[in-house]
Amino acid sequence: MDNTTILKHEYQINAKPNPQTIQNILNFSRSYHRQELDNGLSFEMIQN
Amino acid sequence: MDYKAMTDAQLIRLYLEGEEQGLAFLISKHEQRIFSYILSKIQDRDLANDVFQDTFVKIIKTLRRGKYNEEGKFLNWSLRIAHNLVIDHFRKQKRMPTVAPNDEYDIFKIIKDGSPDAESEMIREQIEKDLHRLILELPEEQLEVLKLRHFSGLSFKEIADQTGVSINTALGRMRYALINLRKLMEKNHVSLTSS
Repeated sequence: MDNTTILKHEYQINAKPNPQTIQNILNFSRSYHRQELDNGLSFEMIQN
Repeated sequence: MDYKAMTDAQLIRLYLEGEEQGLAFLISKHEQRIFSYILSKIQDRDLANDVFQDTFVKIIKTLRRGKYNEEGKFLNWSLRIAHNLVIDHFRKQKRMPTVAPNDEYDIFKIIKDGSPDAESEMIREQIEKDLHRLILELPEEQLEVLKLRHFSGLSFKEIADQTGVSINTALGRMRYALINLRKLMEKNHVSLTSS
């Protein structure tokens, strides 16, 4: 008996995001800054 | 440093100490599972990339806020974030105007979606979860009447007998349960419609 599994859709295969998407995430991480102030407030900043 | 041998917790710690490679390896370790999940729901590679990116933006912000509870379940947590963003995507999509098919040309007759109602189903599940959470906040006697009426399907006479109160009291509790539930829904921004 043939036990071969046929993957009909792309999403059934382990798909990966585009390299550019990964790069965008890493760029965001590098430019994202968050600071807690003494009065309990915090602010976020994207610094290019 | 052997990043490949590190656990998620170690990679996160490294990342929070300023080592960007920790994040890069964390992504590379879980990208297939998370992206495949998103793609399976959205079935559009470009949109799936957008949602994947948003997922990690949210992960980064939460990690930096120190709000991540380390229980060794980074992947489950990430998939939950991805799941919520997929739902947000479908909600936004429903609010956006779409091109209506006409008699001459109907793209939707050509392109068949394998799971035509997957998004509605996901939204319905989310609404149910939200609602269930809110119901539990009702005062006990109101919660009891609501459960007996809607989940057990009892009549108000049966509810009155079972709880030892008059029919009028049971009806009143039900009324207050619905009023309170509506208030809780407004307070928590829960809507019963998917649009």
